Amino acid sequence: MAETLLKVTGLKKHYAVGSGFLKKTGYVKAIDGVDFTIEKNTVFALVGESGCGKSTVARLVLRLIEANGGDVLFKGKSVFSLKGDNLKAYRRAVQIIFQDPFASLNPRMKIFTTLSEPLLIHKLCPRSEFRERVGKLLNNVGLEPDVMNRYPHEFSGGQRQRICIARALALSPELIVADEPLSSLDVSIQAQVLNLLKDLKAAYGLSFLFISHDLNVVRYFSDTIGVMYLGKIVELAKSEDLFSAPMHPYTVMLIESAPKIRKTSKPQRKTFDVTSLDVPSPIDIPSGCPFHPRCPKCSDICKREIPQLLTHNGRLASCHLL
Amino acid sequence: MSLLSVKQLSVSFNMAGKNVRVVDSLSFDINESEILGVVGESGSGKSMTALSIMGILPDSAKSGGQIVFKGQELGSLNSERRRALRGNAISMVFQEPMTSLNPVLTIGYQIAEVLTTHKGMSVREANKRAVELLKEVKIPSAEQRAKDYPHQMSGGMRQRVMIAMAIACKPELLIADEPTTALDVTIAAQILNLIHAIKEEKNMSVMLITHDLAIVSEHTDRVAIMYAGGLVELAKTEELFAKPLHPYTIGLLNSIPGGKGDALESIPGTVPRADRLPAGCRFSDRCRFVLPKCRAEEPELRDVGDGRLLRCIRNERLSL
Repeated sequence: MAETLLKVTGLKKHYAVGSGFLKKTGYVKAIDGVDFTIEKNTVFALVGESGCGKSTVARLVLRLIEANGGDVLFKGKSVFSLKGDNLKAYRRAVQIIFQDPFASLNPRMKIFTTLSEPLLIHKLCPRSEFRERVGKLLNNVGLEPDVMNRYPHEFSGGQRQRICIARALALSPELIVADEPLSSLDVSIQAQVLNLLKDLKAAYGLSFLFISHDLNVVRYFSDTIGVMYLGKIVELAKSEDLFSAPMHPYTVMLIESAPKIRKTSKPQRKTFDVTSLDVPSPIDIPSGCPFHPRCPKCSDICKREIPQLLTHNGRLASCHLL
Repeated sequence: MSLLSVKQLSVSFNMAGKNVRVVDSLSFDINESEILGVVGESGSGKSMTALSIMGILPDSAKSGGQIVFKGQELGSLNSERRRALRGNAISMVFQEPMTSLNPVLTIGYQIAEVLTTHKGMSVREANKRAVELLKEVKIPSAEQRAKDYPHQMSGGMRQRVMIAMAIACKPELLIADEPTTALDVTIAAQILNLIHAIKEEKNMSVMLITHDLAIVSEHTDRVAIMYAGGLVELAKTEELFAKPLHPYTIGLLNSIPGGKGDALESIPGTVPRADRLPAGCRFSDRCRFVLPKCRAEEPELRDVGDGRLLRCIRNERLSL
């Protein structure tokens, strides 16, 4: 039995909107009851369209924002009640890689300063060893140690993302939250960074909470996938199962929408009918199943009752029609 | 029959006293009612090529070569006749629907403006036509939405508005520069299918610029692969994906993860800056098949049969 590293239960984040004098306050249910677990040395991916709450989950797990309900357990301990030294230790064990490597490195700091700052804050080693440690970190992500004396603007996007990964590794974390780490990179560079993440996962026994909208990348990298729609997980399955036999109509739609390379004859136009065009606003979530206005299989019950995430043939999905 | 011929196009900028070429002697044709895919990473010169065809290069750019549209050399036209063509016979959809619409005008007005300018329609007529165009791009309750401002619409809706604007004058050539990069996959699929349907219906040609090979494989008839400002391979879409010949094309295809597998074969290094191109073949410093001859001189773009073009000296021996 694999060891559970992170357990998220009933996580909720609601934002108040339209509040004012004598005005009724509405709520955006950005996250509305999300459960999942991440086992040691595995990759859990969250996929979904923009606005479905994937990044909000990441920030809640990191405790960058506070939740309205539910709990996040890291090695069995509640993250939300951590204080002082315990919180600092948690911050050390869980690191993040952001989407945009151009915005997430301080342009005025040399790479050395950026990478040694976490060592300084967490007092991991004496100053005299900083250069050696930073050099090693850069080596691990495939950069020459002497680049530590340069500034971020001297690097390309792929190199900057490597530096961001090195920064995340500086504190020897156990879990890395990667929020769309590839989407601002060119195709040929994406493959390089993806290979690097895969190597690091094996070398350091890392676990990942991996957020992406690119299904090819998710399929390649992750072990378990949670499909999110309007703040809820609608399907949760092993990566192979999800792609070979998607259960929820939304998962089917996502997989069918993704363009695929076909090496033989010209592919036919897609037949999947998208009844409604856009993702509904999270302020005004449709009644019943939130996906029903766009669902091609929608029936009466879908408009009335909210489906629960239930087990169907050993897999989790929330749909009335299963 | 080719609708548009680009001949020996080059675009250069002056950078710190040095003349830097971002597009280098590029030649290709777009045939009538075909979709040509133009693929390249950032810095490959694909957007600059589009801007050259539209005649909206930045002032600091210097361009050479010829662009012939229906037998007419565009460079020889004065700015007024060029403007009459732009948005009319040749129109463009940009990547960012957020920044390419005017935030202080209703979308109905912005579409109607194209028609009053180019077709001399009355405002009333143009407004009516604008609503019809919104229906053509499948925007629900078009009459009401025509009175909306861009900020009231989602990204996918805005891109539909951009397409409505681009097709308002029934263009013969539509240039779509990364039309779906800013959108979710589900919405992107809708937009591409829409462009495809309009192309069939109106019998226009489309130049689809993208970095996504999967989109190219699903939506184009022919593909041009660009690298660091130059064309490296041009082929029919099926032939390109069945048997890619240029090492860069092969590398791009291998970079895409398919299923759960072993290490991806990525292309080492990064796209060189336009002012620091390697000597000889511009791909030589990242190519795993490189020969001494590759570094000595730039290979010619040659016909390898059936109109397929390739800029590489050793296609026969590449193991695939």
